[in-house]
Amino acid sequence: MHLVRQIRQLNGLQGLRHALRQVSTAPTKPATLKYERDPQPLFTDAETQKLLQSMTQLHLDRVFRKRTVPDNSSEIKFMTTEQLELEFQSMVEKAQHMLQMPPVVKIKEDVDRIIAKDPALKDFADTKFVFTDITFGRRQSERKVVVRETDGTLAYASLDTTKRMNQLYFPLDGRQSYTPRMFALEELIAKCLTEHKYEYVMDRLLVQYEPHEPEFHNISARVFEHLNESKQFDLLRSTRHFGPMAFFYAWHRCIDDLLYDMIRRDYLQNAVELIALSYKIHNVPVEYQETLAKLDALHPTPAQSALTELRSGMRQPEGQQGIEQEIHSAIGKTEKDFTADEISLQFIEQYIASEHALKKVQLELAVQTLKEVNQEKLQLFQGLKKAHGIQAS
Amino acid sequence: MLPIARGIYSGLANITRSSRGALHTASSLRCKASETAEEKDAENAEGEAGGEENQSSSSGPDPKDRSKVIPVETSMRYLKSAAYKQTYGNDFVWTQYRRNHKGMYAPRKTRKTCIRQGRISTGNPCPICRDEYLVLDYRNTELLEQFISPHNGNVLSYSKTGLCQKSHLRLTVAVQQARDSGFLTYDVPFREYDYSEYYGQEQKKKDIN
Amino acid sequence: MSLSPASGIGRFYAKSAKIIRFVRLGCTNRPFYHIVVMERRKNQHQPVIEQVGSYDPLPNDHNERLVALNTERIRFWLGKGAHLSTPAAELLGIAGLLPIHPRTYMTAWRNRRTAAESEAKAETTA
Repeated sequence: MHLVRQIRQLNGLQGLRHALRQVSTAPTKPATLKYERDPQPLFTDAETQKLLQSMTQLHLDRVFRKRTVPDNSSEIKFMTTEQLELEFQSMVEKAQHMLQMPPVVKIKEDVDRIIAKDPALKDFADTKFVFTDITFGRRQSERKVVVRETDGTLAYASLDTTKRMNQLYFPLDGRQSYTPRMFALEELIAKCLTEHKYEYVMDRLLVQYEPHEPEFHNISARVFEHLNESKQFDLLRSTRHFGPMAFFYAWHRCIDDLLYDMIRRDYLQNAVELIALSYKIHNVPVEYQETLAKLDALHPTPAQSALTELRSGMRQPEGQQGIEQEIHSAIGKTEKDFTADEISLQFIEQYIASEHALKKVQLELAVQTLKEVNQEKLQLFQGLKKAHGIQAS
Repeated sequence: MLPIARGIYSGLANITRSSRGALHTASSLRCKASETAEEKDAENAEGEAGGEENQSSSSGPDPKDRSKVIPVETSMRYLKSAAYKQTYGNDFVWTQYRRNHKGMYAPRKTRKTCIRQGRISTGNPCPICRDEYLVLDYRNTELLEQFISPHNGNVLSYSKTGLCQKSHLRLTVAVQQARDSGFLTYDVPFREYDYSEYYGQEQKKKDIN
Repeated sequence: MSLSPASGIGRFYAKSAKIIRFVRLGCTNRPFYHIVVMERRKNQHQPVIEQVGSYDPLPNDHNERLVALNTERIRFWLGKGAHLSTPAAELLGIAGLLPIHPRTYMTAWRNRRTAAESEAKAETTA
């Protein structure tokens, strides 16, 4: 009897859900910034992709953080050094796959595509028919869904219906057939944002919506705008959302906060890349390729640095190398890093002096502080080197 | 004894009237009360939240009465209070609970419900039912998190937590609602993108043009 | 009754007559149909050769009736010379896969006639 009552309560909940679905047709508060033209060609450009990937960075412990998934088992194996090396490489590849950026495309407009009209078929049934092609091996985007209206018109279904049918016959793991309350109600999404659950919201957004849907654009823009105000960029660093975020800021000319964060955290190369990206997007006539090439030669790529991090767990051969390593670990920088810093600082100062920077004072201050810290480190570095008797090359 | 009890109830009433200052006085009062209660009847071995209603024999409200509805906000404040800390310590709500059963092995399922007709109908009510200030609701994330496995993110089984079937059902519903509304986070399945699905067609169209 | 897999476990003779038709599943007062290929002479609840679609005759929340069709396999079996039951042929006609079945036109015409008649009746009484 109690169970019956409980089930009835549950049914009541479903009624509530139904009501919510109606609510969801009224979208959440629209974001102020939108992509006014198609961002896709610029985003898929090979150079942009490289910049974005480098900016995202690759922290293995971040990518492979412990997740609550059904199978969380680990395996212990004996391996030779070569096997271990291969394993490291496959690990980094896997991590790069986990950082696959969601596509940035423009909003797809719904168009009516009528296949046939048959007035003799009017009133053949009291409801319309939706036909879905369930042929094996088709991709979601090329699956055909057609609708026969009661007045006899046969037409391709709207995007909304197509998505619904796809989800019905080929469900995507994690996607709900209704709009989750989190995205339907304004106060809930605002609450998530104020609690800085950015990654969660974005993860869920990716699963729930397709990248060309207006809701996707709206909510992701809201998240990025909120991030720009709260300045918690580190929460998205080394996740798949960092690239689209940087691209969004560069597109809408509001990179200054992100730039400040990067300088403060001593990610100077990323700062240079961010500036270069914004120059590229807005066609600013500043030669940035040369600086980038110089920096690339001095800095390892994210994948390389991840590999060295993995290898550092193994025992190193002793010797001259060991002392230099020690100095490196004590200060956190090598000779190369100092030269790279100099080049990038020059580039950043050039940007701050130009009319593109909006928060000049703040940025200048950050650069100044960083310079002082760097100077100290350099002195320490040289002193240590001299003490260990290593010749300056 | 009686005036103390009256003090407690007025204090508890203050909690429901949602004043933060009153909470501290109430909790301190309750601490005092539970001490005296322990002194008075040594049989009251259960130093749990059940102790919040001291079992005075004659007058005063019935300790087994559960007809009063406690608002969630009260419960959320209770979970942060000193009184909660004193009763449960750093443990989960269900850690110290033991089921009563005949023989070596516990029955596969827990009992259907602990509360019948607005009263506790059993001597060993489940961890949620024994403390009337634990309210299962999707907004009460601090309570819900205690029942979620850190390994796979599922709701813990009633064979582990000892919840009665009714509370367990309520718990699963609350967890689902909380996840749907973004109160509880979980690891969303990884979505792999086939870029050609989004970019490839554009290029094809351009070729045609 | 357990469902057979969509690839089918029904045994058939190479030269026997095959038919694409509905199998009524669901329960009392809740019809649901599988569109299947099977030997013509067999009872509908026998094992099928292949399932090629489904049809839900009760309209959903959005007031639409859902049909799923594996068009590739349907065309394959039609090419093999499979027959079509009338309801299945009607459905395929409505989907635009085949020409519209005459019976669909008949129903449409009858529906329009009854609607017109009831309208006329309402006018005379008013």
